[in-house]
Amino acid sequence: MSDKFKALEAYEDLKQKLEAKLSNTSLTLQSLQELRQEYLGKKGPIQELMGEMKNLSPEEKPSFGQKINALKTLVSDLIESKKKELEERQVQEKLEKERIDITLPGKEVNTGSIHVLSKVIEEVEDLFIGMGYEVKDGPEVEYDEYNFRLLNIPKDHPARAMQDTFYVDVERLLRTQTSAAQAHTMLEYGGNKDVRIICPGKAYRRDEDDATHSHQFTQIEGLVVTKDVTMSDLKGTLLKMAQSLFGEDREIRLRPSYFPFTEPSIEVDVSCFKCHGKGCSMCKDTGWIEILGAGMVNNNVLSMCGYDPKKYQGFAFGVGVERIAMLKYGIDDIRSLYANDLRLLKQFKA
Amino acid sequence: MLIPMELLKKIVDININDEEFVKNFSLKSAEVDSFAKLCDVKGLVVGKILAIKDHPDSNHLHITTVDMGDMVDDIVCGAPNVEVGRKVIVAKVGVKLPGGEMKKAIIRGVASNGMNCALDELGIDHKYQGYEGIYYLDDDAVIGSDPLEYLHLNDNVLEIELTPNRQDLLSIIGVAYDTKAMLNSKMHLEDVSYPTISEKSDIKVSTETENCYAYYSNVIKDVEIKESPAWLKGSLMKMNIRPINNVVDITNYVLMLTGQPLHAFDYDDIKSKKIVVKMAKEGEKFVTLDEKERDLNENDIVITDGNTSLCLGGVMGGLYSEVKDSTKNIFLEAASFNPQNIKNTSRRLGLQSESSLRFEKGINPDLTKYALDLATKMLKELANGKVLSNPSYFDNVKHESKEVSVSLNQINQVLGRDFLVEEVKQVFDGLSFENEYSNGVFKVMVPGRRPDISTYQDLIEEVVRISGYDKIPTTIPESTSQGKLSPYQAFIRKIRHNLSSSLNEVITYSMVSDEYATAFDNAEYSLVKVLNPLTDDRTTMRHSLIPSLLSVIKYNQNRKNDDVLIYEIGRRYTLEGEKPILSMALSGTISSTLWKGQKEVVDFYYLKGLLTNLFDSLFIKNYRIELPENPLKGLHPGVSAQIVAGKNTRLGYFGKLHPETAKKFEVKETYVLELELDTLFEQAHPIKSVKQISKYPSIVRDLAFVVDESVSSEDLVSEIEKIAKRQLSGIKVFDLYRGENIGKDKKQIALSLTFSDMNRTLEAQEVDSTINEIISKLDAKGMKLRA
Repeated sequence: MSDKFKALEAYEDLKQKLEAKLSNTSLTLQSLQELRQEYLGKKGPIQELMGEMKNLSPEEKPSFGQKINALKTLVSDLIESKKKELEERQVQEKLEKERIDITLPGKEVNTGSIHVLSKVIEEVEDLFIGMGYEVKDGPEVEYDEYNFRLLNIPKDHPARAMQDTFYVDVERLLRTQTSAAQAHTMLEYGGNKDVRIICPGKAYRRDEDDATHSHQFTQIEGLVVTKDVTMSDLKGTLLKMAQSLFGEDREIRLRPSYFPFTEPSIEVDVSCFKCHGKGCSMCKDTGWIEILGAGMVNNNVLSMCGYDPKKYQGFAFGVGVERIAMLKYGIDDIRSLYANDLRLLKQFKA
Repeated sequence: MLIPMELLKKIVDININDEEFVKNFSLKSAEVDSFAKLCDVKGLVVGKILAIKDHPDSNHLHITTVDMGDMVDDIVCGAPNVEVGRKVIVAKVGVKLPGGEMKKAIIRGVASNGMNCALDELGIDHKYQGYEGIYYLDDDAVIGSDPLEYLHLNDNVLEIELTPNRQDLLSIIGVAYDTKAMLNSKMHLEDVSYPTISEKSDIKVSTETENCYAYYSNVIKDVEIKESPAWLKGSLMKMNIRPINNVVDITNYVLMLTGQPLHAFDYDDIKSKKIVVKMAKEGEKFVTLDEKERDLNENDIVITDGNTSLCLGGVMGGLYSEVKDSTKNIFLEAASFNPQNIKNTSRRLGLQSESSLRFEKGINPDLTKYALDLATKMLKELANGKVLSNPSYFDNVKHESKEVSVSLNQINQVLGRDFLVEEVKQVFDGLSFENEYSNGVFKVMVPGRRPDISTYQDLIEEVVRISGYDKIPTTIPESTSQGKLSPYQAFIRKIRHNLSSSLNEVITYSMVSDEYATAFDNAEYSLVKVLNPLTDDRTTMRHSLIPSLLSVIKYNQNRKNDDVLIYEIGRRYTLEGEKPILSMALSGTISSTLWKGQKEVVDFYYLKGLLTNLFDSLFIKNYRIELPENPLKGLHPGVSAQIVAGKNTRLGYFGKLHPETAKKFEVKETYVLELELDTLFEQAHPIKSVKQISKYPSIVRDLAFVVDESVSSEDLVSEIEKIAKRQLSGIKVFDLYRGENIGKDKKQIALSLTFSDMNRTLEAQEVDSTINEIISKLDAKGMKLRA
């Protein structure tokens, strides 16, 4: 064996030295690059050994070359795997550094809301639209004619005392009921077209504001006029409304009442959705809660509004939106619906 | 109306328990307000005061020795009216009174084993007792028995709320008719015959006015005026009437029973021996029995002795002829008057009584004489009166039933259920309506007590309520029509849902003060004012929603909630009509991450962004935001704008609240907006077909120009748009800079321009040449490119 080979042998322990250097914990990607230069660079030991090749015999060259190449691959692999390791560690360190406190609060953005009265109106509108109704509204500053006379409430009628009225002048007033819009619609339809409408809107009565009274309130009045609509249709319709507003297992009951524009007239109670009929504070221990008034349209109203009572009959109902909202969401003072405290408003997400 | 069950059960058979009766009544007759005993104290006993000693340690207390039936014990009593031998109501130890449980007590060293009660200690209004101290029972009360039984206070009292059409239920007999019908039971009116003496009534009654329909009278002589028996006093108390004496109590009792008001005169005060009903003279003075002088006019009905008015007909008696403790002989009246006169008189004089109330609503004409006879009979029995024969009367009322017909077919067609002839007949029979069924039609004779029934619809109501609404099936009307919101209603809903994702919808009162009504909007308009407002702050229908929204901001800011972002959809009112409007009022923080030091507060541009996004979502494109010609009322003149469409269609305005306005409304810095919704709707043109988008890449160039302060960013943008023409597909302001290095009264606006072509990829050179053209043309106008 020639000296050259001995040198080669000697350089083989270079592997151990390199491994020792690579295991140094203070090694960085930078110093690893330097190490690669040191071992594999032009002036490095492997290159130096390659230089010896020219001094070897043709017989010696192949095996010497093989050994050098193996050594070179070994060194390169060692450095490469170390590099990978260092890079991975660097990513880990970076991620670790970027760790945040996920418990800090997020960005606060004002959350919008829909007013509970609008919410209830839309709910009722959608229900009735599904049953083929149109939505109609009329003026709030209304003529006595539409608010009272056409609804069978002439001057001096005792029912006027039931609805204390804000007057604007001799003929005009703030409507006390949205049924004023019904008279408009019937006259507009001209007495020969089926009417199937609901009229949501604001109404006014001269009541002092307290927990249960409001000088301004919201009503939804419904009116159906066809050749054959019956009281059982009215009952079925109201049952459907009660169930849609207060739950599918609700029942209703009808009691006699009086409205000048309907005959027969009824009050409608819904079975208490809090105690399910057992009796509680909400239903005053009766198991029933009054929710609306209704009836079959009085023939006088039909004729005055252009419909022949011999050919047409109808039903009408009116529901107070505030009352529904208060019952449904447990609001105990009607004034809070108009105070618009954000803490209440924001509970009704759009 | 209060109905003691004891009295009702005297007239009509009730074969079900009270609880079921109440349920039935509320479902078939009228709304029940309450159902309870006047006094619900249990365990009271009748006691007798055997002896009274002075309390050794008090000058007003006494020690009474009371026989309570099963025991005799001492009770310390502070009443001023203690009297030996009298029967009293005793609450023994352990009895629960409204004021608390009765306990054995040592009162100033003396043991007391109960209480001698006054009525108010039992929870009964003091007015019913009529005197101070403990309440005395009559001698016939049995020691040790239940005093409430003795006073007839052990029955429940039904309180009903009447609708204006059911004046017939203002009497116990009227209630009995409904009860009979709903229970299909029997009624028995008390027989009112009584013996008369041979002496004839010498008072002749007549009328000079048509407003008195009927007048029945009786003369009852030698009456003993005294306290009523316990049952009568108890009955009146249960009906909220104070017992006075037997004569007054009888007239009140008969009134409640029959609904027919009665009036008792002192016979000896009718010196002329005649009663003439007249209209009062204009300006006539009359002293009513409450000792007040009243000014009468010719619409008031008066009962006179021919010359002098004795009674304000149907409303109140006169002081002169009233029944006094010394009265010996009584002239009793049962009359019927024109309800309108009674209504006018009682309203004008502010005199409302149980009598005037019933006359006003219309009494049962068929009970006028019955009521007189019942009261006469009672005066004979309870006051030992002698009834004179041949009393004078007149009656111009047609006592006829009214014929109303309804066919079975009509009933079934309206109610949607097939009723049997027998079911319907049972209702009419139950109500005591004579009826006849033939050829499918019921001919019904409606008695005078039910003037509310005049059409077949009224009869159908009787049929359905008495048979029970629970008999009606539930069906849904057939409909072939498709229901939907109108495009305008859908538009409003879209706005609401759009805005409600970031703002809070409010609903406020339409009526505001005059000052609020005119606080915004300098247009000319005629306000809607209410003639009879309730309060000074609600007199006028508003012309803008903004004042109301500012009140909401104030309300919330006063409650430590500074960040208020609200809107309302409402109307503005003028005498010419109503217009829908949308208003917003925004104050405070929109969003924040405070620990990062980040916070976005409301400013003009936030509101402008909200507005443009809203318009975009509503397909409103052709509008301009511009400086108003004149400053907007209530707004900051430098931070406000109007929104205009087309030539000069005003859509609305927005901006910062004028500092003075903010101060007046007591709100922090606030931005407001108001939009005309119907005008807005006209400007909305929903997408019909898509706008083609370019398939080719676009080129973006950023430029910054230095311009005079007077040049707005919109001016600059529109200049560039004019030059760049169609290939300029987008332009965006991304920076605004002011500084010394730019020059005084100058600003630098940086823009990002996007170019694209629908048909090909643009070459850099063609964009560059456009840019150069822009730069040179702007340069000529004094807008210099910043290198």
